[in-house]
Amino acid sequence: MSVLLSEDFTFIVQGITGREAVNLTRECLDYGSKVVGGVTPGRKGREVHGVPVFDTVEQVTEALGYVPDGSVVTVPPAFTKDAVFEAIVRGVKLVVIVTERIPRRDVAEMVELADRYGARIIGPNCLGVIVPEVCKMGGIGGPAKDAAKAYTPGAIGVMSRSGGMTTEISSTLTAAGLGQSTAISIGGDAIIGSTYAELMPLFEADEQTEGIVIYTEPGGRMEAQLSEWVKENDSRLPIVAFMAGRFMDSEEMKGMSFGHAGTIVEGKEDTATEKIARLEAAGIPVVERIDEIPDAVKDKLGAKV
Amino acid sequence: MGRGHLSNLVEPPDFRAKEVISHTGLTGSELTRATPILARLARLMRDYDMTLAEINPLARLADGSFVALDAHMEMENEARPRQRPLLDDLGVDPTDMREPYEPSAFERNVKAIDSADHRGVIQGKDHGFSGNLGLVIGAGGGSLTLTDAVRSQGGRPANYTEIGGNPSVSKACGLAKEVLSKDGVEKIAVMMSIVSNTRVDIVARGVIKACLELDKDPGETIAIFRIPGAWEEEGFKILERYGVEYCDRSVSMWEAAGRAVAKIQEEQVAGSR
Repeated sequence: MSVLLSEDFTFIVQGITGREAVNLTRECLDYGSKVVGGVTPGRKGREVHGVPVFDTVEQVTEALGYVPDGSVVTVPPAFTKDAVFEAIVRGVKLVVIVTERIPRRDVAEMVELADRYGARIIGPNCLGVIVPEVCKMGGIGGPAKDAAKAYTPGAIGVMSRSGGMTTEISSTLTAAGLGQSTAISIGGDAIIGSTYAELMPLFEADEQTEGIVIYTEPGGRMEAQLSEWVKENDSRLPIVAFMAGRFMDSEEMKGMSFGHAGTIVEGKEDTATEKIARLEAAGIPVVERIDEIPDAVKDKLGAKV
Repeated sequence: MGRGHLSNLVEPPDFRAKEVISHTGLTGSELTRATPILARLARLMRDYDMTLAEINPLARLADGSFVALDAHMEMENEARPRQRPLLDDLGVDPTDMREPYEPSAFERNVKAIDSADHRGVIQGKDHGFSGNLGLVIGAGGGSLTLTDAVRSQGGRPANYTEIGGNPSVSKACGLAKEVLSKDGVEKIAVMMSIVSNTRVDIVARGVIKACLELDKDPGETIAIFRIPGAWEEEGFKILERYGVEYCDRSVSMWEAAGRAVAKIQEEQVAGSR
């Protein structure tokens, strides 16, 4: 098994005729994903790598005779909210938002609407989700042959605030013989659809997953939430964390954002030092180097047996 | 204390403000007079894309009415385009990014190079950095990871950068030239996490071109090149031709950063003899 995606998972691409979206569609198809339609208003009747393009999500569902399981949204920031609302209201249950620089209020509205409709959002500002050798939803890992180099099937769930680091970490795990059950680029913005703590129950229920690796950064409350979740839920899954952006703790860097929109130190709680202390208090070791992750995972898995 | 969560899908209603204020124990005319103030503040926060909207202190006059003595509001950068009318009213210039500090020449130059070409994205910062190792690094998370790796191994970064979205040769070249032109920069380290969109060969061409245009030997100037991923074979061939030390994904980001730091330290020891 895996989380979020499966072999039969179907999805559409909203904004499919954009340059990045055309590449992303090609990559997903090459990987074996079922991209069943695309939407760009006014472009009905076209095709992108054989995928039919429609004006609306409603038209896609009519043509297919069913509602696709997911949608990858890659439209400009000013139009993203409307596109996501459209997908959710038409019954799509998993929406991956690739777009960055979306105003926070729009994201808050999208997340609230998704909650009301029982849908899940991954992102914004993310590269998507991959279940190695099964399905890739989004640009994660790049072209199919590159994705195959970095991602292999296995027992480790990966969640990361950085899209590129999702691949770097998975590649490091792969090189050490540790495959991945599912890798999720959760997004780098201050507000995102699914946090570590919100995704943990899915991994917890997944038989294939035996351990978790997370990539974290300064800024926000997501790591504190995860620490609380782990303490309250007596999780069966050992977690190893990597924290980047330790240099941002210095006084001169206060108020400056680095890397991602949500990566900013405004108060003490946002600092790497504070987050590391919280995670470690919850029994989550935080390593300083990516290449230490595999051994830390093996230690944790060994300790459990 | 009163606390409440508001829906973002509908305009904040008065009754939610009333509930929150009533939690503080206020009642009677004080409650009815304070309610619209909080309700309007909540609407203002939502309508104008604020990340913070605060009235502090709020004073009560002898006649029982309330007045805000001071207020603090912060608007999100991403929302600036759609809040242009308000910003114009307030006299905030579109180019005024209201950074917590004055941008340096390096930061302004990198921004200009980025704006001149729509292909790819480069960002550069040097506020708070004053070392001798120039960093030409990417992307978001990779840059954070690499900056830490350089510092933790005793290196002194001269700057911070982010490369992403497949920049052109001229953009990569422009960024590397800016980094190399900084005072005290002797070498650059060109490093990224595994790339899937950005092309390795294009970044390689860009940084080599920057060295040549500044009359520097790429093999001496580029301490290490560690960008694995798309088009890496092509990139590595070019680097080999110019004698630049490079590595693939089998060398970790930590180790690559360490090699760059070691090179610059060796040179300093040799120079001081």
